[in-house]
Amino acid sequence: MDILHLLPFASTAVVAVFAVLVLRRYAQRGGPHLLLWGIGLIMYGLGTGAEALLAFTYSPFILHGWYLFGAILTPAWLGQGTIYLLVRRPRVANILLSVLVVASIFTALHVYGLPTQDTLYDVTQPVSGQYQQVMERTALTRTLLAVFAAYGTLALVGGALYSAYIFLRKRVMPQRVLGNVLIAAGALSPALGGVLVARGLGDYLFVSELLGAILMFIGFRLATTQQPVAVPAPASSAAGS
Amino acid sequence: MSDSQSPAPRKQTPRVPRNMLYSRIVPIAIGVLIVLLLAIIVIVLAPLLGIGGGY
Repeated sequence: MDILHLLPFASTAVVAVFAVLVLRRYAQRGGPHLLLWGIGLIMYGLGTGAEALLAFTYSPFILHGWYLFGAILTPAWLGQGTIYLLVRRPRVANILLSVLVVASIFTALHVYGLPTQDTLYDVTQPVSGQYQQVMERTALTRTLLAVFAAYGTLALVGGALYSAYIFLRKRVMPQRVLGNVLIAAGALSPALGGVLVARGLGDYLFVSELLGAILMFIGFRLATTQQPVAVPAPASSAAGS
Repeated sequence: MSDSQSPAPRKQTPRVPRNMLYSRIVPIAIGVLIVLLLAIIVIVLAPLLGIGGGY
């Protein structure tokens, strides 16, 4: 087994810890954005976990799960969390979430209905390099993928960059500035990996997923850790200096 | 006047320091990431417009 096959295990471990931290924060503080990020991270982990499993064994159920969670649903659900964080009108966010839930169920039914040619699958090769031959996708599959990916990436990356810009412009919360830049870079990483997969460069997907998970994890920790503030010197001592 | 009557100290907001990281590197990083984001969105949506393939 080469290093490429081990990367999804590392990604799954990072994402699992990340998801636990986010959901623990949700349990402590509430907030739909944290719950949706937690759900999105569980989906991220299901995608990378399926990749890890597919290096040992094959079943169409796992392959469909990899495609559904790893390629389609994860960015949209993570992005929906950012929508809840940034959109001030809860009604708008609720409507978008309702559409996302219905679309996700429809997509799950569609993806699990796609026919597969199981004899073509080779467990010694990365799934990202052979799924196109094994799973017969339709024009609807590609449309769903494009819409989910565009919505999720725009919401998650755009939202993080917008937050970083706002904090930077106000010149406050430096850790949130850096944290959001890292979250944006981390979210772009697997999106870029997906683009490369479509161009036949499937080997980069596993690296991009691990890099994305690590960057988003560090970014989240930075953005949510309280930064100590330098206490100004008392007026008397300042005057005396 | 006792301490208990004095107003509670206001919580201070951390300020962005004026250094190379925040005045140069971060703004450039944000710009680069915006360009990358737009490029990826265009590539991802390209199949809907009948251009190129999908993931």
